[in-house]
Amino acid sequence: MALPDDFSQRVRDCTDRLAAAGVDALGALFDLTSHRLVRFSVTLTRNQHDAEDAVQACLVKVAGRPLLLAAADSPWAYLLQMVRNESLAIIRRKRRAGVVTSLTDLVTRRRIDELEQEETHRAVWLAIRSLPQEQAEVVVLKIWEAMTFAEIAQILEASPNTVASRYQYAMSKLAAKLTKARQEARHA
Amino acid sequence: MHNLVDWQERYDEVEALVQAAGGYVQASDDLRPRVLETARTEVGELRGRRWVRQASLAAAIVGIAVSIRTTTGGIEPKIGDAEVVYEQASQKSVGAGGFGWALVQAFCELRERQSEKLQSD
Repeated sequence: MALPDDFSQRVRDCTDRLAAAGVDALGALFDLTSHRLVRFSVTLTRNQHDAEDAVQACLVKVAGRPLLLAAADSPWAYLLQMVRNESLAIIRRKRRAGVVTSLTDLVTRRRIDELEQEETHRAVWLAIRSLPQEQAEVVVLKIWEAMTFAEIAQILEASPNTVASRYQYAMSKLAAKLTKARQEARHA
Repeated sequence: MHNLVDWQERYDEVEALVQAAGGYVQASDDLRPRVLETARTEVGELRGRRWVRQASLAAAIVGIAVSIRTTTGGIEPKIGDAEVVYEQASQKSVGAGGFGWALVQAFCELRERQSEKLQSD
């Protein structure tokens, strides 16, 4: 499963507009990428507020130096890498990388037609939050960003084999945790 | 083999669950205005700093050019000096052992005059 070309292309279009028009074009890039960037950063920082700070710092940097992003081979991958670096810097600063066992900090969407699935979503997020950061980020990039192991390896600056191995470990843990969560829900 | 198929099915199921939960977490409503406002402020400050830096650089270059012009202006040989030296050499050459030596003598006198002018400044 490769990164959807249309999304990458839309990010490139927004980046080009930002380089041409300046900060006034930042809103379009924000609308296109903020949800994915926050989602990625939340899995690293394990805190919504910190994740939003990381995304804000990253987009403000991009607004100040738009050519940096426009010159990248893949602006979307570059943006993810920037957010990752900002998130890791925040983690280092706040020393807040431990396992989080609640979702109270998260801003979540509750659609009426998805209320039944909310428990499942919460179980998934709790399971992802219980993973080590190195494994959680691979899961996010592989499943939500539909990237190949080679593309993920470039962002994480690791080998594709390492990335694939982390994914396997993560999936085993997620499968165990989600099965357990499902059994507990049945008994409750 | 059966075990492998079971694992694959289980992974597919987990991937589907994770995929479906992707939209659950959102950015907060105030993030957009916060990012745009901060970006506008930062870019404005960046432009201001860049303008000040460029203006300072231009002022420094102009200042250096003016000071060079001022300090070397009196010593620079002028076209008029060359004509005077040539004329003096022509006059001296009549009894001074040829035009070449007369030119050397005229040039040495010019250097003496320039030296005196520099010391008096």
